[in-house]
Amino acid sequence: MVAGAPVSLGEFLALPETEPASEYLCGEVVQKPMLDLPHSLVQSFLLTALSAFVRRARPGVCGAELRCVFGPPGQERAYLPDVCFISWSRLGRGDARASRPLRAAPELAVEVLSPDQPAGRLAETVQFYLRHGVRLVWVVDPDAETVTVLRPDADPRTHGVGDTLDGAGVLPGFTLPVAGIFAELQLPIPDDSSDRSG
Amino acid sequence: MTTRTDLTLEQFLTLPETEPASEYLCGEVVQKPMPTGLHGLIQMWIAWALLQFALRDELGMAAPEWRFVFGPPGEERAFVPDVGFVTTGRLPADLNATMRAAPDLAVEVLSPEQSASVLADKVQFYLLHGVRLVWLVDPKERSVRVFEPGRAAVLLGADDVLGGGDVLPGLTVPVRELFAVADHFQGGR
Repeated sequence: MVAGAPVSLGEFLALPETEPASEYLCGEVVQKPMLDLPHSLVQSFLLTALSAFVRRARPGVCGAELRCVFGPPGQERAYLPDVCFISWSRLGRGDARASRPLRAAPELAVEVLSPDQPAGRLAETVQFYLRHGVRLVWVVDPDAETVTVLRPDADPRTHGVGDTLDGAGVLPGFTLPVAGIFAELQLPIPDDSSDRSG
Repeated sequence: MTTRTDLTLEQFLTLPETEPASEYLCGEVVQKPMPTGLHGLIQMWIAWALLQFALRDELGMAAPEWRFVFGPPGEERAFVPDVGFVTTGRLPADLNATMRAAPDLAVEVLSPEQSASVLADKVQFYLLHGVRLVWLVDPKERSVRVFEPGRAAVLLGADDVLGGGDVLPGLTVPVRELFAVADHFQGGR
């Protein structure tokens, strides 16, 4: 959804949050698509997998729908990647409560597609990410069961369920089989015993 | 539709063409979405507008469904942009030969079935490997997104004018006109 009159970044950041959340790009306020169950399952799984790794190695922090404001001066945009990772060096030191909003590009940004995702807008988002500091982008497509990996200076690669993702130069040592992401979409058979106990 | 194969690029290039056309990337054969009447109309209109402009000053040639094979050695991919434009100096002597180079301008007209991840991958590959100008035409949004390597992407709406950049200097197409042809047959709005 695109709102009417152009607003400045400052005006946008002062607005109350919407549900689903809104992003800001060049005067435009764009509401993210309504999330569905597959999106939510994949997003939670990736946040959990990345957080588990990041908590052990402690290179920075992960977040879901973390608002990140970045871009060239005067042309900053406010994006909310579905999942992202930011290193301590980009976050700076001190109290996290002073970083509202976060004025830095994440190193890793993950976008999980919804069936009604406008393709042109996603291509624009990815190009903005890659040009302005995001070093690794994963576009996760729950319907195609693929993860497209994009980096600023490398050929894009689309991985299928036989492949394994890695943290490239951003999260060295991190690996994740693509099949595991989409296994999350198989809902478990309800267990009768838990119903009885409840 | 994506099919994983063990085909090499050269094997892929010997296959009979499919309808819709297929593209080749790293062992994968990806068939383009089935075009609709609206898609075809806008595609044809753009190809015609580019060709008409380019013919005046012998700037180059535009064609729909033209296959381009390009990329780093050993990692080439085969793409069929909805409209491709090549400047005169880079045109092959034989237009029946496979074009082993990037188009100067690639136009993709989006359809509702367009996969967002396939498109993001394609745009990044185009910009890394020699395409100097990319237009993503979105009939639903009535917008055009313009990408050039090393420059910020620009989103154009109905009141904006699409320019030819360094590829087609002097070309101007009001975005409104680009979609007016669709209104002509759909009763306008």
